[in-house]
Amino acid sequence: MTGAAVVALVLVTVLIGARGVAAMRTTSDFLVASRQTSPLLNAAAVSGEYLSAASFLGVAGLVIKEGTGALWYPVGFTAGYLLMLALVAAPMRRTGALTVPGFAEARLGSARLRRFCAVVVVVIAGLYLVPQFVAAGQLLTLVSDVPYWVGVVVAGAAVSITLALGGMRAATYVQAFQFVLKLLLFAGPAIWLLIVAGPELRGQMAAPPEFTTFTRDTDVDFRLDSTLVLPSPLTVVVDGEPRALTAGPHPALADTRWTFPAGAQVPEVDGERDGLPVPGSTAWGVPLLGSGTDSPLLATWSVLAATALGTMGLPHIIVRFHTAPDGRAARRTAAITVGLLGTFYLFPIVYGLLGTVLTPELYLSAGTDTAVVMLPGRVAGDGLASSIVTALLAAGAFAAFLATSLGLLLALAGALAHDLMPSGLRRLRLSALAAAAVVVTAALFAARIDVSAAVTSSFAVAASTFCPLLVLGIWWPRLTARGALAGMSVGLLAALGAMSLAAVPGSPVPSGGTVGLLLSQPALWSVPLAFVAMITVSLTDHAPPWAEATMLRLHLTDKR
Amino acid sequence: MTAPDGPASAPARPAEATDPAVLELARRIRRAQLRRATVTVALGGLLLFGLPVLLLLAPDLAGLRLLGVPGGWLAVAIAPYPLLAGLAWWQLSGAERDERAPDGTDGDGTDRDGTGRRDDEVGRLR
Repeated sequence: MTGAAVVALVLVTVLIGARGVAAMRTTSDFLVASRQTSPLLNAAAVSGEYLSAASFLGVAGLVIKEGTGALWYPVGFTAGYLLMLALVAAPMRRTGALTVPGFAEARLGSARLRRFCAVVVVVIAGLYLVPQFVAAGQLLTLVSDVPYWVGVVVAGAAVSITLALGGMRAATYVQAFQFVLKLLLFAGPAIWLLIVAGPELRGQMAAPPEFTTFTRDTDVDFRLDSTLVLPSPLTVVVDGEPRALTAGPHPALADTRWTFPAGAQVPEVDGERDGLPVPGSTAWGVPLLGSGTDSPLLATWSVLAATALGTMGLPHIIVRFHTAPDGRAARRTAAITVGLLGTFYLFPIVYGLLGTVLTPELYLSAGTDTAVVMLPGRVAGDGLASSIVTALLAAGAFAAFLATSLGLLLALAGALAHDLMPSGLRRLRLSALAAAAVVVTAALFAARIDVSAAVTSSFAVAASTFCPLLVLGIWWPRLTARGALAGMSVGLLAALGAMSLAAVPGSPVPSGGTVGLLLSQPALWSVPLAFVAMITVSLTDHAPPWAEATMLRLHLTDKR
Repeated sequence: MTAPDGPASAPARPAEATDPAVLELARRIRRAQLRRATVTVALGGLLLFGLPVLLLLAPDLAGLRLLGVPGGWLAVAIAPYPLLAGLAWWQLSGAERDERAPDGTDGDGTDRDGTGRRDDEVGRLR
């Protein structure tokens, strides 16, 4: 029942996407017509494109897995628009450039810099896209009982079909509609869940019990090979067959279902939970990230720095601001976006807390990102109402996936086809399809990642490269093309290098310590480093005589 | 991004000297805007980076319960959003005022030439 309803709603979502594509115009039409867009409509469109599967599913999942500190992620996602408003929106719009590569060339007059920026766009969009496909794959796997790889491939097919149907970016009003849809499909079920939950469950939400023993017979579906460490001997039912296990490590193979009896002690997961608190424990309840480690403050700050500073460099968002008629409208768009996102992000806490009470076992199988969709069934049982709500949530999550992925794929394809190669519509579409294929392949191997945490790596790269470029380019007349190039290279290499060093299996750096943290979340030091490099190299260089006038123009109200 | 955005072929080089009076006005606006943006960013930074410090140093404060929910959770999950929105509103209205202020005229909000098209690219200066 749920499966059928979800499949129907996924189809509807794809059709909405296709409808948007049908409303597409040619590129130049799109540009001119969109100059009429009002700030409110445009802000809804920005939010619609920005709220991805990471926001819809990932934050609640991270609350279960990492504790209430995970609620800092959406704070950073929202604060990014405050920075956009204060530092970037209006002047960026006045350059007339559609993308950061376009801005770089308009401001600094270097084609080489433009190409380098396009490479950075490809990196950012790629890092952002993979977790979207992972989330979509998990979602489809959950609602239709297919293997993970089928889910990812189906998600890739849905995106490719939508792309192939028309190709170009969805119209502003479709993205704005997407935001309203997502807000309703996220807030509505949250309120319904709170009402249906009843006073006892609501009381537990305020103080979730520590997850040390299974309170009832619990099924855990492993999608990936894992290793469980049992604290004491236990008889577990694996795929219907009872199996007596000794204390110690045991492999749990992919696509098996383990049923733990009520009262059994919860096993540990080998290797993946360094420094992560047990759901419901005291450390879990401390509202800071990394509350189980030595440096919760650094962990929280790193994520906030990456998300807040990285937002302004996201390629699929920047282009949206160009559809504002002028600098002032772009600024208003950013301001309204802060309010719209703030409304949406009032609700992840509901899913996170309910999930910690009702589905804490999901972290054993790295499945916390599916908590949101499982909750209606857990709260209200297998009835028609909960099936409908589950389907609505799944549709909302899929809509989130589709909107963000399409925007990112087109940004990626635009950078490939427009900035790095001779332009052409046909080439643009082919680039988008090729990029989708690459991303789907990457997602197949990345099933273990947390979508919210992985998305943050793309924010870290954006913050370490485009944030200094935009801020200095807009406010500092002495920035030169060479300085920009140097600063962005340093930021890119530092952020990517540190994150790969932390991610390599068998890395010599322990993942729980402060050094490991600064490697896996580098924004706190890589952004200042990029700024320093950009300023230092610019100071040794000579800005061309027109540089100051070019920069000042960005601040000038458009009088003639 | 899929479009020929801005000056794709030749870089923008507004080489000719622009009206010194206009440039002076632009300098004034930039200074005023930069001051205000700095204050906004500093306040936002204080909120984002200061609140975690507060929650770490005063766990008792975080333990206060409001409607049964720990205050520390609400301080992260609910409180920042109205604060950020208020800050955004302050920055927006201030920035628009700064733009108008120097000579009392309107900012860039109106489309005075009436063609419906605005060529506000940097390259226009050429």
